[in-house]
Amino acid sequence: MASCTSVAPLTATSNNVGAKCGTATETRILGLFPFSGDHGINAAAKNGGIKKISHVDVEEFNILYLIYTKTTTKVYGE
Amino acid sequence: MRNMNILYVTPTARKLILLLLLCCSVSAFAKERYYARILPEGKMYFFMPCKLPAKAGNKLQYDMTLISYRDSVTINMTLRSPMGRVSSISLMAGDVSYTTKQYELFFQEREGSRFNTRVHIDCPNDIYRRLFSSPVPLTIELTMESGEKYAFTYKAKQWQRETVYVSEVLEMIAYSNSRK
Repeated sequence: MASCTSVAPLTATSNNVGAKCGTATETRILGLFPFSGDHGINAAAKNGGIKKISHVDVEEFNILYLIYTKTTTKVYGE
Repeated sequence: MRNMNILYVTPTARKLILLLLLCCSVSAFAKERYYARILPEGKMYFFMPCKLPAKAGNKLQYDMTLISYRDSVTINMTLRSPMGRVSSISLMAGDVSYTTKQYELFFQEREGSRFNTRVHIDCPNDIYRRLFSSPVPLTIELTMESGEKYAFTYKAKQWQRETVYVSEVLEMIAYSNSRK
């Protein structure tokens, strides 16, 4: 395939499933050069105003594997 | 010599392969504008962050969360601009507008030469529906305490696509609420 998207679970906690979602994205070219920086859980939680995390998913999108990679961390909570 | 013949791809085939790669890439970019999640009391639809065209180095990126059992839509936005305090936030499309000073500040932090200010507002459902039914693209305007204004508007095509996504989510919410 020329491009594909996959979503995978990263972690889950015992907190209730909240109605907030925060995302943080990093894009890379050739697997080496990051366009924009931080796809950590902290950045995603901060973007969503989340203080109690219920679960975290990670979505990866790539074109020809390493040509272009976009990683998005999605944090859910309240 | 024989091996080289096997590897040889005609110019037409090369163009076809390139076209296929482009189509796959574009289709992959086009999908997943929003995600649905099941919550204990209903459903959540999260619209992935969207960048609105920048002016003079300032940027606005925002995302939306629609929850089936709530009467308002959550809108989180990050303004990249010189340092300042936000006074009010307006959403305008055609003759519909919504202005609020009731916002929650998530954070303000430096990134390079500018500051990222992330805020959260709630927009009542009825106004939100009217904003996204408008044929005129939405403008988000942030007024600073200094009086300076930063306005960001959707491009016409981007707005057309967005209204389709929003209206289908609103329809799904109406359908699921009618079945309760």
